[in-house]
Amino acid sequence: MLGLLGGFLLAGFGRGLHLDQGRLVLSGVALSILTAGLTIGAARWGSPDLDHIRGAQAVLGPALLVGPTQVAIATACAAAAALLAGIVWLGSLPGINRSGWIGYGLEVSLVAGTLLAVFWWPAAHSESFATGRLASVIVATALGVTLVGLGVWEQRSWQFARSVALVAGALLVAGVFFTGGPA
Amino acid sequence: MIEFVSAAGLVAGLFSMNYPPVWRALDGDVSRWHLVGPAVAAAWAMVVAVDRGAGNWQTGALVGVAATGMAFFAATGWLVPALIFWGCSSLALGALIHREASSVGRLLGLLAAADVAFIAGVLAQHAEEPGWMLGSVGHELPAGLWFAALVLRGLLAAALIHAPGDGRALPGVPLALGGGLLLLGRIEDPFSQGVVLLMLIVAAVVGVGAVISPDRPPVVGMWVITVSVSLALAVPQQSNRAAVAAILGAAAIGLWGLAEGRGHFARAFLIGLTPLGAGYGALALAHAELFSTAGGGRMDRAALALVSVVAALGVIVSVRVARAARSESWQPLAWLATLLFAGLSVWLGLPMSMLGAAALPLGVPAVVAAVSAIALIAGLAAFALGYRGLAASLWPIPDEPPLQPAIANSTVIPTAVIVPALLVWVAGFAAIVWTTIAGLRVGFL
Repeated sequence: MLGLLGGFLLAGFGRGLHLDQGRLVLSGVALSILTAGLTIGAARWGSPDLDHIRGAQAVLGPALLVGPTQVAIATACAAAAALLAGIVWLGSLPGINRSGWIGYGLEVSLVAGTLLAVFWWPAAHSESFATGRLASVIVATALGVTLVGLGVWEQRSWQFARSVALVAGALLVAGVFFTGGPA
Repeated sequence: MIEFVSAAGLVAGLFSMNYPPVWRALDGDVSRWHLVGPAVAAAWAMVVAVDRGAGNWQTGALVGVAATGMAFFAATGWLVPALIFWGCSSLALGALIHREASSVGRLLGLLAAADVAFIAGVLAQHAEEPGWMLGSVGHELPAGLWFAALVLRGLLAAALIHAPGDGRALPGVPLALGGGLLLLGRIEDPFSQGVVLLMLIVAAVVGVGAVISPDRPPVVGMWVITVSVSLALAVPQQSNRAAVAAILGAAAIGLWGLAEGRGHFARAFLIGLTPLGAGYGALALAHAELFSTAGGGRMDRAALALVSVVAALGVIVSVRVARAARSESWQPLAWLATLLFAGLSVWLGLPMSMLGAAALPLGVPAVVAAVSAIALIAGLAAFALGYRGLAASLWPIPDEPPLQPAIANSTVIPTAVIVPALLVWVAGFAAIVWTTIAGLRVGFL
């Protein structure tokens, strides 16, 4: 998790150099909500270690589907917040040229892969790997396509849409943190 | 002469991190020396940078006494020698401020208040546990007083960055801060989550101030200090990385006025919390510690949530500072010192897991050599692309001023300096790439 957090911070720094002041602040807020959402996802299993998270999900199932109900709802809220923030973060670039799509693709992969690993993915060495892998690939593809699509869409949308998404994400994360959430 | 003395001091500071002196009054505690070494090295690098060939030996002499006193204070476990060493260091620091700074009343007041808090803490600790040893403090009153001394020393460092004058008191920045941070490492019991949360809130507020005013060095310096101290408070026993981040970041901001036209990215790296610097190491340690206690209550979870906010703020502040072009003038030695600080931050900030990974058998030597060569060639190619301006055409920056202003003054760096510096940079880049690959291969991520 800490390695992924570092990756997001590095990518955020690189992106920030291309943004004007308003988009830079928006991107920073999105980044903080994204990392906070991922932290909640890790707290669901009580470990910041991706191996432990994946191991727990391989045995018990994806964090989003494992009860008690209140915990599953809290985890789903965190996942939704992280997804919204990820979309805003990915879509904060004002324009992408031909070579920029390579970096954008890597960032989409990073966001999609991280969300998948924290909230869904089972461990590779488990018995459920065969079915889990198929489901994971499907979900990863869908998530990636969604993020790319919504990210591009978001670039052409209003500032209002970004702000609403971030406020919703922040409220979800704050709600989970202060009500106890999955911890 | 001052250049040679400073170079010797710099090398001694770096060398002593792993080989501290041991004699009757010094216990040779390497853990505290990991903090002292960077502070001493940074102070000597700043002596050369601010001297600018004037040959002001008095500055070097005072820095020498202050640095030696601080280093010996770090290594002694005895009460009387500790007070003597602290006193010598503080007196030399005061003389440096009195001699070289233009506005001394406030600065000396802060220094004196910090010393009073330190001595009061020593007396309080002595009252709790009478004896001649001065190890770690575990009681609330002495710990609180030493924390107050740290806060006052931090304010002194920020004020020194802002102090008017020709900048010859700037070497006092890492020494003042280093002395205060040494006290934090001697506090046994971790602070309550309320204190950690409060410091994180203060860091966030100062960070917002730095986002609004990225061209004001004292505010940016205060951001580095507050965020590092707040992260160190979460894990006081392993506060070295946070202390190194604070010292090197504050030192780089201190030299900002002398290297405004260059070193944008090195400064941004030092004040942000991005990998692979010491700041990120501190962030990772604090995150792991707060994560382990997050089930305790709302205050614990709020502190954990604030770490995410502070990390994102670090990105925004560092980007804003990288683009804050106040002037195009720069002094070569100040620029090189800033690069040195960035290199030190990487060296001392690499997570131990990655260092451990690099020490593992990594496969066939030929493959290792080939990957290293590829990394080196990639680094050289990247430099060539950047040098020819092709990078700008590949990754254009829309509607923004240029990130690297042209050199405006007539100062020219000698080839004998620039070539080794570039080689060191390329080698460092290759090492980072290789370490990352090695870390990925053994499952670091």
